[in-house]
Amino acid sequence: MKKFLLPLLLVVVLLLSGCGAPQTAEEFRKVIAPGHLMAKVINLEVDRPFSEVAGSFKKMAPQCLNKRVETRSTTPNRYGGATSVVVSEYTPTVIVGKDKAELHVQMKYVQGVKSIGKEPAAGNYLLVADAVPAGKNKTKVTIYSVSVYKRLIAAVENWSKGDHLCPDLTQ
Amino acid sequence: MKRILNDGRNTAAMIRPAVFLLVLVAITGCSGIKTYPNTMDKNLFVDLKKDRGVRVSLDVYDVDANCRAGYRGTVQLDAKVSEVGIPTSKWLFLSFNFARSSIIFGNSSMGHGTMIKARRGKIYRAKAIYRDDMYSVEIREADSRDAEGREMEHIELSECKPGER
Repeated sequence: MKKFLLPLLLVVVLLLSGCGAPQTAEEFRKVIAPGHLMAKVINLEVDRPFSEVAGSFKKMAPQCLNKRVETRSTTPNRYGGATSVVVSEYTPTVIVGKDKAELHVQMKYVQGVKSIGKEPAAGNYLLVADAVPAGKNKTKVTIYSVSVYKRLIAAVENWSKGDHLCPDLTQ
Repeated sequence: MKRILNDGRNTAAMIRPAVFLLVLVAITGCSGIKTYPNTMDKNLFVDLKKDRGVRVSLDVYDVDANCRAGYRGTVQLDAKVSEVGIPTSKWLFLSFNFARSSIIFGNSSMGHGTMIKARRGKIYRAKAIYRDDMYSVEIREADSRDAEGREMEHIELSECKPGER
């Protein structure tokens, strides 16, 4: 079931964008505008200094998201069952500047699913998060994603708040 | 072929040898998973908190000077606190695996691994959590089981550089 869910999501992203998949984080932010089908934009302000939030992104993103995920599903048939294998590679990118930290999460299928249309080298964007200082010891975080990636979104929210949990990318 | 498969007895006759082979594979360990020989002095204590239905295991690998990982075995972490003896003074790769089975999604497993070089006389406390599809693993090094200790740096196997370890 999940095998079909993820490609379906990519189709939704393609439809949202009107033509092809977003090729840059900036294009993804524009595609994931509030009001769009399945688009999710979360604004939160956390009681942590900007440097700490940026530090959490830098620490947690490679640990949790630099993964190659293999999912196997077996469809029963009269000969016992047909097993399909889908392998996807996740690539997180963290860019920390003086007044802004960005987290980009991309995913590319390397086996089992044929990508539709042109996609960026590291795969399609699943999430983009921006953190900016909002006064002393406060940071404003904006997360752009698709509602189905709720665990990924929750993980980035948690990191912003200082919790260190990784999302199970197989679920 | 269709006729045979629709015949209950013949189907059973076909299934029986298959089940036998499966059991044989499990017994002989041909699944690729072998039990870690947990015979050394216990210096790694894993504190586990998890949702019902989640199976947690720990794979132990040696890492040689060329950054090649050699599989030593797997410890099933069933207890709330499991005690494991890991070798000291050499690089290891410890991979905590969180596995689930569901009717809809089938079997899935998420691994979280880190390189570690345990020191003689130190103890290591790992806190492994899997709750609501989120997980974390934190390993601390301390002088005793009660001491706070320090958090170990997370080092991916991909960060290993031949000759540097």
